[in-house]
Amino acid sequence: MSLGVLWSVLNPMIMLGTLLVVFTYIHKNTSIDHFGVFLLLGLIPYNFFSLCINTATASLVQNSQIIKKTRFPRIIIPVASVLSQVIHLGIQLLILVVFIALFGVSVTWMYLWLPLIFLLELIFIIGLSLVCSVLDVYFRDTKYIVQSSLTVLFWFTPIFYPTSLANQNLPRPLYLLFMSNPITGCIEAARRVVLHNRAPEQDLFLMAMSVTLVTLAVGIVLFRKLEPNLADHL
Amino acid sequence: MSDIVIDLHSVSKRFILHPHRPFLIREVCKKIFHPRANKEENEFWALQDVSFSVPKGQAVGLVGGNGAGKSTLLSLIIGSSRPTNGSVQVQGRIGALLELGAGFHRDLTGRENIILNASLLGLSRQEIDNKMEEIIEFTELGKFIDIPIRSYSSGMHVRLGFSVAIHIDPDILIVDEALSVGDAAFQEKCMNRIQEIKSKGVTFLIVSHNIDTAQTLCDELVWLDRGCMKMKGGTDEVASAYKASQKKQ
Repeated sequence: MSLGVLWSVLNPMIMLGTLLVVFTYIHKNTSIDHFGVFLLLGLIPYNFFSLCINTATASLVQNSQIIKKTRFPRIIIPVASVLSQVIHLGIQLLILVVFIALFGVSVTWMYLWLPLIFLLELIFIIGLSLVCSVLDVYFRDTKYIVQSSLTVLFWFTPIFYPTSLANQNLPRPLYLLFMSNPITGCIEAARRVVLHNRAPEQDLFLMAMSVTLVTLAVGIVLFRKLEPNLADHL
Repeated sequence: MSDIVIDLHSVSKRFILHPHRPFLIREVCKKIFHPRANKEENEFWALQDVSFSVPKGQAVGLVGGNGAGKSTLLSLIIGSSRPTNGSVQVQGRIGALLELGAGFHRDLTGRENIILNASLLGLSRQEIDNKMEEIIEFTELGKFIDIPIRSYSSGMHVRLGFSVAIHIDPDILIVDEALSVGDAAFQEKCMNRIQEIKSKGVTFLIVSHNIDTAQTLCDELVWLDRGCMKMKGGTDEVASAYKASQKKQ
């Protein structure tokens, strides 16, 4: 799946427009300031995550011709497929800049956290991509499992509601599971930085970092283990 | 001269035959509900206990019918796949011309595929740029070089593949059956080039169903039959034995 620049702008705008209409007219949301920016700060990390995981999952199978006939470190393929999506993240961040200007959100030095937050997300995505891409070679329903999981995560990531709402209403164990998702961690951190001019909450950020590192480690170990025989299963 | 560049030591390769890629969900359920169920595995030995070595500068032909294990052996030598048992040792850079479109990406243009393929074989961007014109000229593809290769004919694929394979200064050149797709003029051009490269001390591995081609190009033949090495030796000796067995069938 390769989106052109136009679609890279249109896709989140359509999504944003839809959610804005739903949550300003149908299901009124009065408690959140700068709701457009709030939404974008949820949508952008989630969109990037979903786009990367979808592309990376199929990456090894799609490049089977090259894998079967040449020798090179296979890890390049899923990692490159993720890195090539960074351009779309960049374009969507430009939309964010426009919205921040439109809503008159104050810009502070705290914004320097943002690159770090997105780097954390990128590392998490790479780790997960290694797992998904290699499983897709061995199991033909990986693609469907990934798609279903992404739908579930769309609702269980705080895109159009704040984490405080989940804190009030989710049973404790489920809430902890909810918060352990690094995408949630990134969204929450980015919102604190941009909307409240405060540094990310330490515990949550550390949690996101640990989950990310564990995911990356599992990804690398699994990939290394299955890499030698990839060509035989494609 | 007796440096060994390809060394195979009792190499075996087993494939597990699956009718389809399995479902993850089904496998997980099986594990939960029948933890002790033994796996039904339909295995197939594509190669069994094959050993031979090729000294630098020699041209070795691989002969044998379909399913003899020739392609499997090549994939082990190239390193895209690993042996189940035994060891494969290869010294130097391998240029390989395998089946059509091998190692290329359909959606990239001929030019982009040259960069991709040469990079995968370990050339730097600088080296590739230096050789680009020469590679393109050899293919005789003209304006088609900037068109995605999914629209190429089989002949055009071969031209591109062969041109990259010989221009990357390989230490070992592997030529599979594919060459026969090119037209007579291109085949002749390739044969001349092969002789030329051979005289520079490049090691050759040639796969052919056509025993006569193999006989003229090679110093030695290896005859594979259903995964086992049936015979190895001088070209005339192996060729006549091979021909005799063909007649019997």
